[in-house]
Amino acid sequence: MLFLIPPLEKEDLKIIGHSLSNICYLSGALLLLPIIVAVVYEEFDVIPSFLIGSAASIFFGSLLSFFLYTKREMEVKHAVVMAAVAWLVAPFFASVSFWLANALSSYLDALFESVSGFTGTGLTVAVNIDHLPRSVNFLRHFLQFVGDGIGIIVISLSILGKTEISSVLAFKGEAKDTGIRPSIVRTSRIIVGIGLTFLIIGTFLFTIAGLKEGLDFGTAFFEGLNLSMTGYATGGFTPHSQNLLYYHSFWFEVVAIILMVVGALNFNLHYAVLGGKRREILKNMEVKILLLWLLVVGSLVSANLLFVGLYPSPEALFRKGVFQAISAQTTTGFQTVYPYHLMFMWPVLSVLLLVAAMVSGGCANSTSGGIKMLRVGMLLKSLVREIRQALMPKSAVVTGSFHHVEDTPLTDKMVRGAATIALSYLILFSIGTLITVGHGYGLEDSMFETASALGNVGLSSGITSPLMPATLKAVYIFLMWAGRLEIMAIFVLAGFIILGLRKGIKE
Amino acid sequence: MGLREFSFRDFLKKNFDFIAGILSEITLAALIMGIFALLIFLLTYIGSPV
Amino acid sequence: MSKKIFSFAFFAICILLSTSAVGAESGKTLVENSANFDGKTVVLRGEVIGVMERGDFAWVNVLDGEVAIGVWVRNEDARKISFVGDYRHVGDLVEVVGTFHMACPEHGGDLDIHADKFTVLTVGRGLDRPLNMPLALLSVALAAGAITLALYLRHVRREREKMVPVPSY
Repeated sequence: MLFLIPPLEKEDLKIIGHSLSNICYLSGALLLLPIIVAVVYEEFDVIPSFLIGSAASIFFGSLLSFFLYTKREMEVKHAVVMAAVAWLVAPFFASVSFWLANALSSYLDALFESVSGFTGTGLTVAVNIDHLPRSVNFLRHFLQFVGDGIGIIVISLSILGKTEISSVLAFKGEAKDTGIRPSIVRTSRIIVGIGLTFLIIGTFLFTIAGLKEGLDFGTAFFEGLNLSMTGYATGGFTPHSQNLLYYHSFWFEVVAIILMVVGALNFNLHYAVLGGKRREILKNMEVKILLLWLLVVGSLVSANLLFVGLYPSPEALFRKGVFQAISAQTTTGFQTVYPYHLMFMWPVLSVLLLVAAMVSGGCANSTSGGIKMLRVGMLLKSLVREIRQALMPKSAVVTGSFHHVEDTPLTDKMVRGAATIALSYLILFSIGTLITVGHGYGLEDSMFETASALGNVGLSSGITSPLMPATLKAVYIFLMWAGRLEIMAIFVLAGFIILGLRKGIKE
Repeated sequence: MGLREFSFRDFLKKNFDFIAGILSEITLAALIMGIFALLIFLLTYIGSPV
Repeated sequence: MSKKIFSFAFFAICILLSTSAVGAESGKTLVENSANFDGKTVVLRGEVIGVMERGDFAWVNVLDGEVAIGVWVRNEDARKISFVGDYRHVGDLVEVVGTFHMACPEHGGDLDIHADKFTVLTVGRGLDRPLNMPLALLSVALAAGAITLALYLRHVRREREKMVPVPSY
């Protein structure tokens, strides 16, 4: 089978390397932004960390650009591999900054935190978050906004404005295959625009909530900006160790829910709705499935918690039960319950329901992770169709369609694609769970934490910590990375590497 | 003359659409919260005599 | 002889009492044994990392080791706090005596302590974070160097292009 695939050529590596250089330049530029925050808060001693991380990124980028120069066009395989590698390279340089700033206990922790940031996961191994420099804390949140809220390839396209095929394909590699606008550059700019819009709205709402709840303006704004970045990006980092519980505020949780839901919606939907097609919100298949799933999980979790007597008051059921359900389904990861409590005090049923929510995820082409509602919807419809087909006479043909901005027929190819990704997902989920259990953790908690890493969620049952075994940290880094790239890109990269090793690289 | 007038109306409509769109998305989130609030009250009501 | 034994015993008891920290629980213990402590009076010592006034009361987030717990105190008590911990400050070390709630009904199920007694044990202080001058200069040099190199290599590539164009297949 391998002999049918053309061997790797040096040009292939050059194409990937050359386009990667732009990502390096961009990541270098972005690492300079926290310097502004450092100056504002007079944290001058941390500035060198950002400068060095940025320098390393730019330096690496220039080497790539110079030595791997080619004008040949990108093909699909290059774009997919490039996206996979970019999502390791960019966090790598951020981790250099984190490590130099002494924000984390070890280099592996710094890499974990960067990957968790960039992929919009939100699992944290940072020690003493409350005492982190504001600029370093800002970088944690900013990484989530840039990496997951918008996407580094999208930003790169918006700025560089390339219109060749290569960009289209790199775009696809980042799993944001939207086709909002004919021009890929325009689409990218729209995605950036939507992100900035909700960032501004979120910051505004959180600042108001902060002022109302007893914070001074400066603090309210800073916390608000950070929470808005990670809320929209459905990331889950917060400026404090208690996560969202720090604020003890119903209003903060309400604003968080607004941003989480918005962040979980498809970019296509945003574009349609913001362009005037407001009806789309209720007609869209993904929204319907998302609502259904949310309702099922949320009500079952609430009922379970009520039955067990953990949170008897209605307000507590909402702020603990429903909130965690929404956080899980939108794959955000804001948490209002201590991780220890999730592991040892929450009933197993609720934990497993959250796992189901995390694995299924939010809408496609959004900041959410998971298998995605579009695929879940397609698979469910396909299942219904199969049942109907079985009940019909042999000659009858059952077709199906769904509404996603426009009415689309459900083809076998789509179902196959959805099933493949869902299956890959579940395979990784199983392996991840087994490895976690192998490290001595309980089954439900292993499932929970694995789902959280793979789905780029960020809710923690306490397994994730600086004291977590190093091998497990490495495994979770892999899961977070794989989840963000919807797994296929990882397989293609693996195939690429195996091909190169087996057959060598042609000149 | 007529051209300028047309684009002004268009501009207003676009902005209106944009703001209305944002509000409808926020309303969706509020709707979700509202449905849950109702659901929880129902649950606690059923739960109490039991 | 008996006097010596008595004074030794007295001395030993004093030492034992003073090192038992008068029954303060750690944040970790409270979170991990919430059910046992629920509704009971507890003592928590830790650093202030957050203060939020709400009406006549205020939330004070107290960090003990790795775990921070929210404490609901009266405004007058909250105003005794001088420093809130962050990067440039060590927050006041406070001692809280109050009722622990695993899922406070008054506060939407939050885990908290309603303080009866709130004392500032040690006032916090500012932390000096001196700039490492050699490192700072090196980092500026590296950044400037990297940017310059990037631009230079781009220039070199452009020049090379003019002489021998890279085939574009």
